[in-house]
Amino acid sequence: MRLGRIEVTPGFLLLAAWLNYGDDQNILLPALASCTLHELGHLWALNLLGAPVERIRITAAGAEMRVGEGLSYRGELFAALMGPCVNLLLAAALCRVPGGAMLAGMNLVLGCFNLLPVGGLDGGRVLRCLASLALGWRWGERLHLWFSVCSCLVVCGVSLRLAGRGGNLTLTVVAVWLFFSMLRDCEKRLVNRQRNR
Amino acid sequence: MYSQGVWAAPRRGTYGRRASGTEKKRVQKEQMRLVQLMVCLLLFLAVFVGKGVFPQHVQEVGGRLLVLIGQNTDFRGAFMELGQSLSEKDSVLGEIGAFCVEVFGVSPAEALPEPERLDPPEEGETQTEQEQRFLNSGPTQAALAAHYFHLEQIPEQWAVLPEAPAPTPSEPDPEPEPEPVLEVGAVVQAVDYQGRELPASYTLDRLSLGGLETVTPLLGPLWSEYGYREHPIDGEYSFHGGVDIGGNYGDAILAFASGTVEYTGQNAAYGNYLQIDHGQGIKSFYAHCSAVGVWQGQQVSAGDAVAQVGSTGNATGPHLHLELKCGGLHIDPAYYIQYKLP
Repeated sequence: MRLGRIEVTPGFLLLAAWLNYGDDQNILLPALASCTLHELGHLWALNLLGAPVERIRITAAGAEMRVGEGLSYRGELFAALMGPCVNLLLAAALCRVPGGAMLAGMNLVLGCFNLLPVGGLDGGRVLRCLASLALGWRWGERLHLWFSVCSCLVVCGVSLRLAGRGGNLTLTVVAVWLFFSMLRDCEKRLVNRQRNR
Repeated sequence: MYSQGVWAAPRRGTYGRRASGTEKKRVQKEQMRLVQLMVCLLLFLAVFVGKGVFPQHVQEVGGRLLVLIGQNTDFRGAFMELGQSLSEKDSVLGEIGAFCVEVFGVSPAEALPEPERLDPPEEGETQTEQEQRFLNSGPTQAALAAHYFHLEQIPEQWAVLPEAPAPTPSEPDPEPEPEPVLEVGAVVQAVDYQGRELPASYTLDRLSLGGLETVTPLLGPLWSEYGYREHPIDGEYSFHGGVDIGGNYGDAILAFASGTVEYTGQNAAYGNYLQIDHGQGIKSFYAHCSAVGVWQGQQVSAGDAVAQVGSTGNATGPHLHLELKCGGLHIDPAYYIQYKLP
């Protein structure tokens, strides 16, 4: 499904439908709005840097932006940080507004979650850029992969332990999502490397 | 939670190579779509057939699944607390930790879910809902008349009409003394019921237990009464075959009367359950226990602790689901036990 530059996958629609079905407290719309603002933060940063965004693809694993040439590591770092920054700023601003406590909390969680140093998330990207800037390309990729796999395994382990103790499976679902997001990121990086050969 | 994927646009020199590549990709994509369609169809058929053949089972599984993946977590509340803590400049890290615990790790003792629907009306209820709730509570003739004549109290002269039991803690013992003890199963008090047809083997009448010495298994507020009600978890209007008595997790559940433990078990709907046979066709059934302390065939006396209150099975909070049967008929336990006002 495509409209101009934005494409929506059926996987995303399925996920949205399922979340909507299970959403008793009507938090899906505020959550989607927060995510949209997050992505707009990315877009704005990319705009500032002059990197042309050719296509935006919204999938169940997140929103992917296809960017034209010309994005340095520093630029990528800036763009990646801008998303969670928007969320954190919103959280700081909304918490003082009466009635904005829930949105503030939601944005805080989004911002912090995206800063986790796992594969597909902004945090992972930040990690990769920093490592590449400091230690070169190879080490950057390597560290990124190791951190992603380790964090995924840790989250999986913790979630299974919690679930075994009588907790719910929310964390396991999150862990699985993280895992798939990481796989998707690896896949894209491989394709990217093949194309650029 | 949205990631950002960035990759460089394909270079011009690869056009030739791309032509055959796209063909293969298209075929692959089509195959993927077909597989996805097949899977969706299979899922749909499974649920469709399941709902037709074992509707109860499917419902139980669905309910359990929802609980498992945290549908009953109060996300909104958790977010709100987090936001509020931000504005108060409390230790944010500590708050995030608390948030994680709340959302991801819910231990049975401090489960957040709301209790089942209770009698005290919520504010802002519409009149129809109030009306419905009043009628669902099984009012006596006198109460009905008082309600529709908009009277504050039931006038004295009406009080002599046959009554369904009002929840008062000072209710007398099950077998009415000094009246002569009727034989087991005899109707002590027939209820003039005008509502929806009762399911088979369920009765609203008060039957005699033949002078059986009984004990209230758990003294607590009556969360849910015997009779038709909207199910607290799946929202369907169904007959509740027992009473739900609220309690704290781990409270002792006492045997209703002396007898032999007929069976104990565990399933998705009732959680940990047990049934005691008191002889002469009288049986008591206890469900949602956190732990059952007796075994099949064990002899128990009235008042012995047989289990502990929990929320296993299809339950929204720790409570005891108590059923009483007499001669194969389910009867309203509220006639035979004491309970607190909700």
